This record gives sequence, structure tokens and C-alpha cells, in this order.
Amino acid sequence: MKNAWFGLLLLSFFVIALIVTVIHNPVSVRAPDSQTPGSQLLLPPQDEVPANPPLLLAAGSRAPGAIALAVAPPPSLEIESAVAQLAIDFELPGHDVSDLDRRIDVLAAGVSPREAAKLAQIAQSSAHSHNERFLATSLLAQQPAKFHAELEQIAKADSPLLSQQVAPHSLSEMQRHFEEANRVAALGALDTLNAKGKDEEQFFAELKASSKNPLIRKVAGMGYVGAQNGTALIQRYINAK
Amino acid sequence: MGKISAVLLAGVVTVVTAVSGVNALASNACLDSGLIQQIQSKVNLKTKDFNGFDACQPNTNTYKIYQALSLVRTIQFDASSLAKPFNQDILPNDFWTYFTGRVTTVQDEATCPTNVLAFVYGGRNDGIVHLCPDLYKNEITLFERAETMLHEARHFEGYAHVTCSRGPRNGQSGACDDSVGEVGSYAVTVETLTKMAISMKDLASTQRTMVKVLALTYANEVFNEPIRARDLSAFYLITDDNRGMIYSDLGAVQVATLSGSHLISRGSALAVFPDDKSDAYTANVFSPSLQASPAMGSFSAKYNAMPQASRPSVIDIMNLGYVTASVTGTQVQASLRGSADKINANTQFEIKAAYSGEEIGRPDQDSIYVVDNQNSMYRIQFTSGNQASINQVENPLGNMTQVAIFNDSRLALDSNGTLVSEANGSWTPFAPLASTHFTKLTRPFLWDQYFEDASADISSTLK
Repeated sequence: MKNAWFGLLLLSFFVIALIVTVIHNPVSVRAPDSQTPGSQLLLPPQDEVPANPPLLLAAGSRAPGAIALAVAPPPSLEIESAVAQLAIDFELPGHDVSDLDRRIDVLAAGVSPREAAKLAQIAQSSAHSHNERFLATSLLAQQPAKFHAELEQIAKADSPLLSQQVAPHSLSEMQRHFEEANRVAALGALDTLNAKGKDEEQFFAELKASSKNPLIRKVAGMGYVGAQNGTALIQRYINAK
Repeated sequence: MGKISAVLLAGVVTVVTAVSGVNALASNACLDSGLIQQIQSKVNLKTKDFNGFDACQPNTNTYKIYQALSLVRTIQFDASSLAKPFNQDILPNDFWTYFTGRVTTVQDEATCPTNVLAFVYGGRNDGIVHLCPDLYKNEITLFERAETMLHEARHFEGYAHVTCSRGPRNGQSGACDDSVGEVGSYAVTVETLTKMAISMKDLASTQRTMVKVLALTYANEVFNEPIRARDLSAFYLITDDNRGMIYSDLGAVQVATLSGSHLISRGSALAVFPDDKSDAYTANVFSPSLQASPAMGSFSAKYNAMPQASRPSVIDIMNLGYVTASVTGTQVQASLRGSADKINANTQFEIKAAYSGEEIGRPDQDSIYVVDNQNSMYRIQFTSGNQASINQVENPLGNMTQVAIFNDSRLALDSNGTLVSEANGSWTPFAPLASTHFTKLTRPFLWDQYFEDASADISSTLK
């Protein structure tokens, strides 16, 4: 009888925890996922983290598997959580680089079309950190043939930051350079298709003609010339430095 | 009862943890206390939440600055060699020594000019980097914060920004540096990011790519003199079956075939001086819009305006070493070291080709070398007294013609039309293009414009 009471109490706490979690922060919960080794309770995007979390939750408060009973959230939320966690792990002191690379590769290999759509959204969203956004682009970039539509979407996305004047040492300067970098990375991935015979010529030509940003125009021009010649000029341009 | 308490506590922890959403704050988020002490011993931190600082709580200003300074303190590089222009060797591999040699204090400012992340007071050289609230926004990465610190440190050495004269910042005051070679704060930005991208140890591949591309974006925008990356230096070739080709470190691409014997590299374009004087010269970067308004220098500009009978047979226009020269028929007109004074030399023979000292493997910068139709070579030496002397010399090129200096190596066409490169005094086929034969090779030019010109329909000139 005593054991049954214990069990009931334990179960009730887990149920409460599950309900409250789903209500307040659905993306912080995810089921075990074979695509993301080491996946556990994941952080939401950084800007959702309270400035001063209770001391109770500081170092050592991780509770692996505590709410692993949860129903799996939609894939788009799972991928968002995984990206958020990786973006945080990038900057952890003493992080294991080879483990990060492996986790990214595994995650990239399992990206579904729905997840790809979410990644494209993250990559373009200023609500996410630069780490998250670039990681989202990078995950898509690992399969450019499969996700060329999403990569094109990222590369051609307009933003006032691309053409407005920015001051040195300013947030908008940093944002502009990130916006450019994210698009160049997407273009670099599309460019690899040139060497594989999948022609992105029309896309590059249109972007070259339409972009308000000189760097994007230049890189799109490289992609166009690369498409004409069946070579990956942008990749070489990025890697030549 | 003890068990009940334990279960209750576990349940409460689980609930609170789940509600807060910060349950994944792992213990390895904690900054190293020894490292913090090392930083404290060198840099005075005056951040708004310094009191009560928790080394395991990432969302505080103090944590973010310690984290950035920890990166500056501990960053390590492998032995990868980094070439100019992206790396100007401003920073030693020990970033920390550089930083602490210039900065003593980093302090939060409650109010800042709109949008500013950080600043220093020019001329004060007080070692204080002022940090603004925007620097702590979560979208900004650790690397961007660390790079900002090093950029600001450079300002203490007297490097200020200037008004931008090109690109998206054109006309903007204090938003550019004149050139990367001037080694100011933006050169530090580009060098920091490049070093991180190429040779930093313990960097995930995704981050490496991000930092690398960020370096590219700064390099393209923040210098009034465009950065001359070697991969954007290219030379033009015509194959023995009359196909035009551009080759750079990016690879070979097929482009329009230019007619005319004398294709002269001029900055970011090729000047085409026709064999038939009834034709006009053209400037060509394979961009129709540029053809419409060529800016090829005063000599070229006058050419088309001349009566046909007066048009010289242009062999070469050179701006190499100390000598700027135009070579036409039997005449060489030169100026030395940028002087406005013209020095004329008359060879008495038809000049077939002209080279700089470097192109023929000689160190002299005050001479050009010309070859006649018998392949005899003559040195024309210019002196500061506006004199020119002409003396026959041995022709070290033998049967090779059309030399180009590309990426610090000499390239030439041999008598079979094979592109050959020199290494350790011997000439061997240039591996990337060894299977093709050529009739024409130009000096290198920059082909940025080829890609950048938004109005150009480059497809119309591609074969």
C-alpha cells in the first residue's frame, strides 16, 4: 500500500511537470531522438531564458530523462530545439569540437522536408541568435540538392540591413555582416550544385540582377559564371582566404 | 517519511525546472575560475552586474564579457600559414598580450549613441573600452564580442576611421579605413576573423565557416581601397582553337574571345588595341556596361580621338616597378617613380614585346626590356635626369613570350603554346592548364568587376 502511494505521488508530479512544461515552454521538451545523439532537455532560444533564473537551477541541476515521458513535439519544434541547444553548446567553455561536428552531421543527415522548412525560417529570423541562424543554414547546406529551394529562399531574402548605411561598432553593422554571411553561405552551398551538373544558373542570374547588396551581387555573379562553366567558384572564393 | 520528502523534493525540482525552461544549463557552462582570476589580474571589469557575478550564469553582462575575454586569453592557433591581404600580421598569436598591452578596463555604459556596441575615446589613450547595452544582445556571438574587443584595442594605437568613398557606406563619415594595408582597426577585425577561421584550434566546422564568411563580408565593405585578394587576380588567355578564357585561383572559366594582338591588363579591365587602326580600342571586362564608359587612363582616352593615320601601333602600356610607360612602334615614353616628366626613347627598330625587369627575372625596377622581331632583347634604362639608355642584353626568355607574374610566380607561353611556370629556375607546364595550348596570355588584372557590375548582362559576352 505504501509503495502504491509512493508510485501515485511520483506519477502525479511527473504529470504536473509535463503539463506545466508543455503550457509554458513546449519547445524545451523533446523525446529521445535518434537523429540527435545526446539529445536531452533542451534550452529554448536564449532570449526566452529569464535573466535571473533561480539559484536552484544553476550548475548541476540538469535532470536527464526527467520528463522523457513527454509526447514527441512536432518535428519543426524538435529541430528548433536541437538548433538552439547546439548554438549554446558552441560557446560552452571547453566544448568538445569533434562531438559538436558529429552531432551537426547526424542532425543534418536526418533533416526532413518539414524540418527543412523550419530551418529556413530560423535562418531568416532575427528572433534567433546568429549562431542558431547560421547553424540552420549549415544544416540545409549539407544537402544542397535536396534543399535547394530553402537555400535559395535564404539567399534571396531581402532585408533593409543589406543596403542601409551602418556605423562602425554598431549592432546594425554586426547584423548586416551576419545577414551577408548567412546568404553567402547559402549561395556557397547552391554553388556546389554547379559542379554536380544541377544548374542554378537562372537563380544566380536573377539574384545578381536584383540584389541591392554589392557582395551578394558579386557572389551571385560568381555562382552564375560557375553555373556557366560547371564549376564551384563560390566555394573556392570562400576557401581561398 | 524520509522517502516521501525525497520524492516531494524531486518532484518540486522537476516542476520548477520544467517551468523555467533553463534545465539544460549544464555544469560545463561555468567559466573557469582560474581563468577569471587571470583576466581580473590584467583587466578591470566594470560591468553593471559585476557584484554577485555567477560564473555559471551565462545571461549576465559580466559572464558574457568574461567569456569573450576568456576566448581572447586562451585562443590557440595551429601552424597554418596565412597570407596577405586578409592577414596583415598585426596581431601576435597571443591575442591576450596584444589586448592587455592596450586595454586596462572594460566598462558598461548605461547610455550610448544609438545602436553602438562599444567605443573608445579617440586621443585619450586611457585604456578604457566602453561597452553598450546592445553588445549583450543574445543574437551576437562570442566571436563577434571577442572581435569587437580587439578592434577597439587597435584604436588605442592611434588608428581612427575615415569617411567611406565606395560601397554601401559611401559618404559615411568615420565608417571605413583607407586600406587593409594601413593596418587599422578594421584590418584587425578581418585578421582576427581570418585567423580564427583558418587556424584556430578547437573550432567546430560550422563556426569556422561562419567566421570565414564574416571576414569576407568585412573585407569587401570597410576599406576604401578594395582588398586585393589573390583569388580575384586573374589573367586572360586565348586557346589555340580561339576560345577566350579567364584563369584565377577560383579556376578557369570560358569567356568571350577578344580580337586584337595587344591585350593590355589595366587594373580591373583589359584594353584591346586593334591591329587595324580603323577600329577603335575597347576596354573589356566582359561587361557591356563598362565597355560603354571605359576609364583606361589618359593615353587610351586620347587614342580613339586621333585621326586614323595618326594612331600609334600600341604594343604595351606598363605600370610596373618604378616605370610607367607606353610602348608604341619604335617609341617608348616613360615616367619614373610617378614623376610628371616624360622620358622618350627611340629604339630605331619595331618593338615586338615589352617586359618589366621582374618579368624577365631581373631585379631592376628602373628599366623596361623590349624585344625586336628577331627576338633580340634590349634594356631601356631610365634615370632621374630624364635620360634613357638602350643596350642589347641576353634574352633570358629564349623562345618564351607573353610573361605574367601571377601569385608571385612567373608564367609564360613557350614556343608550343604551352603555359609554363617557373619554380627554382626551371620552367614546367602550369599544371591546372597543362592540357591546353594557347596563343595569348595577358598580365593579371582584377576581375571583381566581372562579378560585381549589377547592370551587366554577362551572359551576352560569355561564349
